[in-house]
Amino acid sequence: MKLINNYLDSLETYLPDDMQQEVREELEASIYGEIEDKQEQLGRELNAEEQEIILQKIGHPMKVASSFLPNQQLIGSDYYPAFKRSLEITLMIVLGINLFFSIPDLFSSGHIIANIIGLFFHLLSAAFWAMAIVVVVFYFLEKSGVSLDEIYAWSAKDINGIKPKLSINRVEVFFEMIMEIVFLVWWNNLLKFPSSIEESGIETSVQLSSEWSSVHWSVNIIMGLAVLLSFYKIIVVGWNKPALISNILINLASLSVIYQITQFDKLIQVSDAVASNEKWQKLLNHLDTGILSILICIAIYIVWESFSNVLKLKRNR
Amino acid sequence: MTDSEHYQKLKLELRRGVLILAVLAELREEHYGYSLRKNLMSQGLEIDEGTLYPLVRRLEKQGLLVSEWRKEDNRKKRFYKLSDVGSTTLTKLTEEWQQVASTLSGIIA
Repeated sequence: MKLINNYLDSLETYLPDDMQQEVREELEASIYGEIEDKQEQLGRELNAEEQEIILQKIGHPMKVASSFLPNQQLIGSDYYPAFKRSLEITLMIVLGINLFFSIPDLFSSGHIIANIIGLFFHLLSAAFWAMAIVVVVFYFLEKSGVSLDEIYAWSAKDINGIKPKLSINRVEVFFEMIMEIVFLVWWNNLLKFPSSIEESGIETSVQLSSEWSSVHWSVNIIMGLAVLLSFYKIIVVGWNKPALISNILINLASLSVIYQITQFDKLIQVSDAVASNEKWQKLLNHLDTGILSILICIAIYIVWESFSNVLKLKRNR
Repeated sequence: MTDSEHYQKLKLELRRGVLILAVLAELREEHYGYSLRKNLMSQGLEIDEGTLYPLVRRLEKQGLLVSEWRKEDNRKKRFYKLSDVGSTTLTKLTEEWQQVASTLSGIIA
């Protein structure tokens, strides 16, 4: 009988105080009822193994106890659709606001990579708290029995038509956004790549010519808008008409900046000490041609993307 | 999930729906937990403790059953019986069940 007592003791630990005795006595009567029945059939007392089989059939004490308790879910199925939608909206607002106000901190003192990692954990923590608050609010709404009619109050005439959107891959857009941020960070000299070249035994650093400063802020604004657009695409998970038009406008602005860059006399500059060297002159010409080729490729991609956006706009009309 | 597991799950769902009717019908006579379960099982309705006891407690809370603790064979037992409300509900549910059963027979045939 020790097995049965242990089982019932364990079961009690999973129940609230006011239910423990009642449930225990009810199950105890049932278990002993079954044991007595079996003993009568066999004409002898049940051994420990046979008692164990009876208890095993009843199930884990935690599972049995939980079946006596009401509401085993944090958020019940009736409240879940409203909970999910509220959570999505809250996360969008909280993450959007946090990201917007944290961007200047990325360029503040400290290492940029450390700042990006810090921002990531800051956003993760904000998302966690937002989620926890929404869960707690819905838990208490359900617990206090707030009417579902109030939560799902609606009228057919208030439902607006949903504008169709073309779905996208969130991971791809996230990667695109990261690349845009990395470019912005490099463009603002917060991230430096090795830029030394050795030619004829002379090593010198290579950098963009001073003419690039004329497009510094145009590029910052265009890339900043592109980051915001990518973030918007991640949230709505698709292209819609405003996003497509914005992307076309950003692309047109980018083409205009690329055209401006192609008009520069020099794209690359090196220190004066080697600038007059004939071999270095040749190398610089090659580098200029290389950069121009890259810019042309980017321009072709932008034209293709804009064309594809126009087609999407037509399809999405 | 295998076909057999699907079948077992669907079978449980199907039985769960009629369980309340069976319990109410069985409790036209007074029973305590184990004797109720034994009676249901002897008539072919397998039901485990974790399902039956919470169900009868819920039905009692809803006023369909009344219960009384009594000592029998030196052991405290809780005896359940159909209340007046439960009796009326059982009549209505039985009619509903007969209608559903007849409709389903027509559909399945």
